[in-house]
Amino acid sequence: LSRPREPGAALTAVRTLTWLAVALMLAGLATASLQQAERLEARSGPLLGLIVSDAARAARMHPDALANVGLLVLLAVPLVRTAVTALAASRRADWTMTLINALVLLVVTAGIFQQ
Amino acid sequence: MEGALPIAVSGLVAGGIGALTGLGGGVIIVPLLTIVFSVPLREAVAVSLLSVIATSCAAAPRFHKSGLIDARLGAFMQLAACLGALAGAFLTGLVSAKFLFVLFGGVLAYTAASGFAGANRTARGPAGGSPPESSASIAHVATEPRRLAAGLGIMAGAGVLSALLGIGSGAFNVLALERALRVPFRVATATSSLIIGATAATSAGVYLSRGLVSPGIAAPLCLGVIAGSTIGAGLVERLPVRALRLLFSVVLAAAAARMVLQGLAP
Repeated sequence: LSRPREPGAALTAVRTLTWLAVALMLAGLATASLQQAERLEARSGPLLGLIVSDAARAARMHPDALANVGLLVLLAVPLVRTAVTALAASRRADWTMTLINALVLLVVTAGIFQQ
Repeated sequence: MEGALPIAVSGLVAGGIGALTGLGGGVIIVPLLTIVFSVPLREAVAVSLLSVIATSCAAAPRFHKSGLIDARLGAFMQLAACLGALAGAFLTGLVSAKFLFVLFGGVLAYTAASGFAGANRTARGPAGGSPPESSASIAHVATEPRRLAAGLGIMAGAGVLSALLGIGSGAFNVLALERALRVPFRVATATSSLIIGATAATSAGVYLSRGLVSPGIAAPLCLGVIAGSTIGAGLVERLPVRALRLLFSVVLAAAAARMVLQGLAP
């Protein structure tokens, strides 16, 4: 029996969003480290700390914000993966698969927005 | 974000071991965060759910390449697991942390037992005697309503546990797919990797909206897990997976005892 495979577009979406999430989380952690160095520099005053603090000021962003966006992107991956699979199934006129994936999408979205 | 490095390293190790043994990272991460880093249980669960999504993302290219994921069956079972997760997310505010510790201990004990069984299966062959390339498609499974109902029921239960405990519930997904629906072991494991991502996303949003996800812990942990899962997946063929699985099961059994004791402590 041939096994029904996930569409290649779903994998591309997963890969792209995962890399985006990784980049954002890394940027968040780097910004946090820079701001930590900035606080250290305010206490001790070495030259290297001063250079680092300029870079941190340039970021002008709360470190948690970038990491948070990265986490939200990661959270969105299964949603996008399911949506892409549903779209691909509808293009093939595979309505059972489209319906199942649409229902999964609905349940996951309901979970995400459940308070 | 102080202390990000030890958390990232923990994620790396958990992701690596989870990928190597096929038991997932959640069962390691929650005990690690609560016992070693003294993170409150609910926060550990919230962060772990995001790491489960990270594990699913890291596993996607590998399983896509191998063609082992049954997308149709996965989507169908995913629906039951996500509905279970939705119910589990609703229950999170109603159960006590002590109960969760005991429940987690029980789940860890089961996962350890399935790890021992899996190690024996690895010794016999990758597919445990079942035909490795055949697939129980949903059309075939649907002809056996009792098995299908059992599979869906286990999946829904796995979803509830995933939401309550912050785990992927991979061991239970495999139980539903392999035992109830007679899907070959490797296909069950691969398809489970697809299911855990959507299941975790269903309940992670609830924890996120309640402010239980600390980005200072979640971001380094997820980065570590993604790296660890990718490295672990590449090492599967080179390392003695059976010995690792046995060792990991012993560690899990010890963690299970610790979690139960913590839950029963006055």
